Amino acid sequence: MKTNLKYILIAFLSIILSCTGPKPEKADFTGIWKSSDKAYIILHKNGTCTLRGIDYHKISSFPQNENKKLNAEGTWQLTEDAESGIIDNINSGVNIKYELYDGGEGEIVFYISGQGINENNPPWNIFIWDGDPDDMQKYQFTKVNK
Amino acid sequence: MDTFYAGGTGGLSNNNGILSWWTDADEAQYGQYNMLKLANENYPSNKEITPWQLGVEWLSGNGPRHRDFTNGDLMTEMLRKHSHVRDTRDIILSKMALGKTSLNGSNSYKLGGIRGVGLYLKDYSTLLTGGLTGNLAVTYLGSYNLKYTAAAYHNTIIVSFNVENSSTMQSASRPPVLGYLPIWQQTAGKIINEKFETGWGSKTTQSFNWTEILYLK
Repeated sequence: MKTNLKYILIAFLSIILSCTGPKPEKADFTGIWKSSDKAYIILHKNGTCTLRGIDYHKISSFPQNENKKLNAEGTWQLTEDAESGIIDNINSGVNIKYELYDGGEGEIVFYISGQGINENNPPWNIFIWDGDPDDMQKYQFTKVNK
Repeated sequence: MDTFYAGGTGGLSNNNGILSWWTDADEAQYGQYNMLKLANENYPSNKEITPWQLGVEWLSGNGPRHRDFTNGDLMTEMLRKHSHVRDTRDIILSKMALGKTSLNGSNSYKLGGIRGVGLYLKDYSTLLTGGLTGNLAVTYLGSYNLKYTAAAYHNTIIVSFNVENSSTMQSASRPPVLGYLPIWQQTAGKIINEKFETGWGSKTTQSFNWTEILYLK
């Protein structure tokens, strides 16, 4: 019971603290972002982007995409409507649109997380949920040229 | 794998319901290996299993730990009726109406965050009303990421949908709001999952893959 109360207290304090945090700005995101599986994304200042070696099955979990890598060119922008589901007061996300091999369009919305107890302070990371969002496992990219 | 016998002339084992028995090679170097899938009629099929039964499978630790659902299966058909799936169809149609030849994207249904509180209460009210007030399949899934790939053929659009779900004690016991704080995942959530790595309440997974045909007006 004591342990439960401790968690509840920490959680409420976290909510209060989470209300104060710097807001992600577009300039924070230009540069190279790498993941632990050596995939990378380059977000250019002019709004274009390059995707290399992205685990396509994590983006598009259809059986036919297992072991496929996504290499594509596209565009990106900061969006204000991409709440990850974590209570961290960050509703911004990075919206990437890329060209499919047949001329169609693919879209990925990356969520933003940061540092600290509520993960809402820069430097930022960008991520998507790997599998079920309830598992809260991230496919995460970290900026390499700060 | 349970090996019942592996001696000088052969063996018998049960590997996840696959019964295998074999004999060693004889003088002419001929051995024999046989496999038989054990009947598991005690477990409902993917076609008929209900969210309640899936919950019992997960909680009891009995039954398949992974299931694949597709068109015509009860779970899939329930999920297809969810308002979030309907909204996603509209998104796909509005994008394809702009002349796209194909689309690949996703639309997340999230119970976390402040906006998720209302959805959480609505989804879990189904348990009190026996499914009358909401979508029981979604109550079972919780948050889910609906992925889609669509291709246009004149005014017809063929869409494949995918949802991956896992059932863990952490996700089942997660309270609204508090359970979606980073610190919850790192502390209570982690401890809960570690305690239920095997046996009853251990992780089960479900994949939903289904196809629909939509028409541009």
